[in-house]
Amino acid sequence: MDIQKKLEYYRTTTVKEKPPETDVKKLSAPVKAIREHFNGEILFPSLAPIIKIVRTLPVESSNKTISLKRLSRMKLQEPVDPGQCLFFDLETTGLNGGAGTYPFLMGFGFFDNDRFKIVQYFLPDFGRDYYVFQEIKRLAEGRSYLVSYNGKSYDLPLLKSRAILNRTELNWERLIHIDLLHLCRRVWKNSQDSCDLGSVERYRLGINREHDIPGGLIPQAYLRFINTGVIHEMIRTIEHNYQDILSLQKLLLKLAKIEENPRALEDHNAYLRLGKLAFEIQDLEYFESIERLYSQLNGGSSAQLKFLKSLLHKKRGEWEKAVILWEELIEHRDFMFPVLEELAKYHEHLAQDYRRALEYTERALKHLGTLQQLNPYSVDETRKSAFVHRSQRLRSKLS
Amino acid sequence: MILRPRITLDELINRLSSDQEFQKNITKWLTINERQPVYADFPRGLDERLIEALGKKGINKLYSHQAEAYREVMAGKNAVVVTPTASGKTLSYNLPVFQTLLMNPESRALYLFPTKALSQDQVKEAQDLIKLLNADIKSFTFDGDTPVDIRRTIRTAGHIVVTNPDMLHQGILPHHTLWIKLFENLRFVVLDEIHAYRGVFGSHLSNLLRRLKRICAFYGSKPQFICSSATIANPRELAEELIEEPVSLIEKNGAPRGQKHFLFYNPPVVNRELGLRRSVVNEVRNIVRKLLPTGAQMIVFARSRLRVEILLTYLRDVAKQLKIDIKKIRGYRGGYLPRLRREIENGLKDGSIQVVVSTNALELGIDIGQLDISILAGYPGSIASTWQQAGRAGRRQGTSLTILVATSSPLDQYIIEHPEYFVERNPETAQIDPDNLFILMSHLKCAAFELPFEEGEKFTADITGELLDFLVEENILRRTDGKYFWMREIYPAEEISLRNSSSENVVIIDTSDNNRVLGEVDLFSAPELIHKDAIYIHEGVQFHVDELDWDEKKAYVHKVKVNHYTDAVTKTNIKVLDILEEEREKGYQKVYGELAVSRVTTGYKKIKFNTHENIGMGRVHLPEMEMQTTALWWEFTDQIFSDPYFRESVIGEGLKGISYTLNNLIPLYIMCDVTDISVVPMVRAPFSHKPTIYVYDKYQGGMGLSKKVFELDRMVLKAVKEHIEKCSCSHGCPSCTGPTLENTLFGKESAIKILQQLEL
Ligand SMILES: [Zn+2]
Repeated sequence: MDIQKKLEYYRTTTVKEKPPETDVKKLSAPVKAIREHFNGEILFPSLAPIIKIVRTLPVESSNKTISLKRLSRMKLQEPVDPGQCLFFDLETTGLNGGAGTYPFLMGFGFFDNDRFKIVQYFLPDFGRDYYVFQEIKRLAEGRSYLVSYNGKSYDLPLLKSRAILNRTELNWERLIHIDLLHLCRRVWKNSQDSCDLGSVERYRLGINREHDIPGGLIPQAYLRFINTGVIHEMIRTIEHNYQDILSLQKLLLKLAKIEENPRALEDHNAYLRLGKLAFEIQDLEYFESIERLYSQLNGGSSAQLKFLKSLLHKKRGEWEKAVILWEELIEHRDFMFPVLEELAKYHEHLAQDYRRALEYTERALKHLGTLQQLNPYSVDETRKSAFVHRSQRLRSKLS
Repeated sequence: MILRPRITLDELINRLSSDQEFQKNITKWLTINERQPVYADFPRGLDERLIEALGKKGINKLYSHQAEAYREVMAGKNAVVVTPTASGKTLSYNLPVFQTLLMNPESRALYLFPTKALSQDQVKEAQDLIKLLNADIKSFTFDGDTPVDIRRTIRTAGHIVVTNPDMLHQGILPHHTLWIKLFENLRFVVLDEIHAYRGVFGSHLSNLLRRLKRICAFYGSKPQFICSSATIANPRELAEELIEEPVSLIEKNGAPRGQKHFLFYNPPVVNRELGLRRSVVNEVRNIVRKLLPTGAQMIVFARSRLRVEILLTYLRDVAKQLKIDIKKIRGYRGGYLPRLRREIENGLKDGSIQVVVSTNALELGIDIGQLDISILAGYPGSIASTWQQAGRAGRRQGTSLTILVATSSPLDQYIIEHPEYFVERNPETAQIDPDNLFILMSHLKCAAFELPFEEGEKFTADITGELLDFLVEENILRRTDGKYFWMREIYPAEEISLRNSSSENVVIIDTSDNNRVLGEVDLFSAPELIHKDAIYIHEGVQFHVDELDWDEKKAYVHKVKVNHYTDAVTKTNIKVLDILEEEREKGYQKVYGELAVSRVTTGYKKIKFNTHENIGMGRVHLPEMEMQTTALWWEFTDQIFSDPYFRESVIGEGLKGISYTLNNLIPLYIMCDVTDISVVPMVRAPFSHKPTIYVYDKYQGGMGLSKKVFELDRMVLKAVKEHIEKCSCSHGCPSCTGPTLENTLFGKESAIKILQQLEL
């Protein structure tokens, strides 16, 4: 049988996809229409048309440097000059990555004196990314920072992959990459269901997008555009990407304010997150300021903060302070066992008061026994055996 | 019974050979003589560090096949090394790879193993060598279990990346830009155990290698391939089909071998008329009862997980009777937790376990040391795996004993009558069809995702352009500026499994066991195997099909114990689409071509075990299934039926008998399962109206199986004839022409009469 007949049969046996709506393969008219809509410019008109769209808007002055030292977990030691930042975000043909994922819209933003400038490259067909690379390399010249949202795991690797496929190099390793997603999680992870850019915008920047196209629908929309030449979804996508870049810029400044003074947050969940951050970077002074803010808002500290603080004291060798906090937490359901363990350790190894150490250990074992009677599966066996072991050791030391 | 002291294997063999009762069932006692090693010096130019490291392992010279492999590979050729188990296969490919890595530390090698379990020992061996070499060579396993945080290191720093085809397909090639270091410097691809790459899996692998080579070309590398294979009839042909390049064959093995005793054990006939023999499980129990008190360490291979469990229970009972600690008898199969498996492997090595009953999970790749005796409870389905299972017995260069216990199936009975297959060349060929349209298309999509196709680029033969244009029409690719680009949102490799030809299967769900998934049946076979009220047999257990939900592609079954099975009433329509080759032979015309096969299941018969009485029937309403595939068929000439004996019903029974035997014996020539092919007899074929037997590949688009039968047909028919003639039953039985029903008493006789006229 000839191959055409075989292919006919193959078509009948494979799962049917929705047929394309219409088939307008000539893109020149839609490309022109998009260009006109945004008052853009066509690059490489004869070779591989790409639409470049530039918009600027006034913003607060950018010449003040900002600090993100703590929120970056001490990665950004030096103050950041927003004028040195290149904000970027891609729209692509797939959400799973891989070599066949094509970035058809690349948006960039940067401060230009007292204005913010957004430059977008829309690729109206496949195989055009090669030409954009020359342009975007220039954008990064003279800048020190990349700012993105989830760009560390998605946008930048994708761009690097495209550079390899086009046999060119990006050399953006020299830029310091600030991924705002990570910073936002350090502040708002407990305050909202999701830390995607849309949610952060809505709750923290008060931005409500209208007529926005959801990110998940964008790949399909582009493929529809390629097949049909219908432009309205692409116009919404370009606006979506524009808003993303704009939000990145606002979010950076918002986070800088939180770094400078967390009081403005007025959010006890965010304070708990920052307390955890302060503990991780071992900044007691910062921790205490967060704890104060929390107490003011909630009329008292929280067990969780107390426990973290006790561990901070322990790390610094301030044992008396730690012991006081542990004694306070001894009745607390969530911290009882870790605190009894800490107390037993302290009295065994530092104070060398074996009798007291044994008291704490036995107390823990008694509680564990009660819990086990209520529900045999509720008790962590490794924890229990650690206490049993400790008890045996202390008894032998005492005898 | 009194526990006897441990005796040597030689003494045991002596004792068995004088055991009258045992000897009665031995159809052949094959003694394969020991073989002296053939050594070769280390090749000139071999790195001093490598010589020193091997010296520390006690290796001061090579076996001849290792040296030959080294020579061929270092001369820039691809190679396939044919090796029995435990013959230094790993060093055959490690030697050229390590030499190259030492000379050029930028070089990279990719090791592919057909399954994850198989790679363990080989990785360990490479790691050992690296430790002794004290060189900066890194070898990593990259598979589904590799932690995310070390993946980056493996991508850039791994000199040897060990993985499996599935991971290459879904995890590496679609993300090739992350593996730039590997692909720019890839010098070697090692394909271990290539005989596993046959049928669908092999056809997928060949396409996967097309993709791999395409990516390598993009990064400017062109790797050499080093393959290893078990002993099959066509290792070079298979390797060349897989990699589509010339390959040097290295089959003279220089490793020593101890004396092997290979016993063919046929359980006694209990009902001659029906051809029924005593069960394998029962016989294995008796054999083990004889061997257990000697203290010999043994492995018993069973064909299914269920058989493992049954045998384990029986053998423990035997141990109890003999007052032997039952903990010395253990089972081993997939589904056991890794920790338990390690415990058993170690128990075998240190001798605390005397008997292990296993599925083919222990066939190779896992280090359990060498045992004294291997017992095969049923023919494992291929000669290559029989050797691998037999290879588990025999301490290095010492004597070993293997006992193959046959079931009543035609293939087992054929093998037991033909021990010569184990002395002469293995007749099994591994077949693939890389150009099966369904498989090819899947990989063409993946390849387009990985890199856009250029106009005029070749992926396969000369139809690449047409296929790409088809995908453009289907809106899967976009053709622009002289290239074809992937234009779908999805990630194509995710939807394609290398182990199936079509993505659609019916899932079987056991409602009597928490809705556990029992298995899958391909869509084409589902109507006849798992229609409503069918008795579906899985690993020897009966299940009643309560419902077949065609839209959801699910069948719901529950466990039952009944004394009947079901036989689907199907109507097969065959339409010849194209004739590709034909030849006239004495008594028939043989044809190779393409068929459209449609099958519809209309009902079923309930048939009682043993007596094969028809005890009821039912109707079902299921859609007709169509398949286009490749086939071979024999059209018998009218002359051979000129004897008035051949009434139409007698011809029908004869053809049916031949077909039953054919279906069962074909796997001896072509490595496949009986379910991979279908044999359909027709008293009057459409158009020609001649008595005809069709053999077709049960895969959309064909898999090259019937093509091979076309080439070997006289050999296969001759085997069928001899086998039916030799069977001791009167009117046909499950071991030859199939179970006899009340009204089919001529099957055996008619089949013989037909075959006799073909002058085979
Ligand atoms: Zn028979």
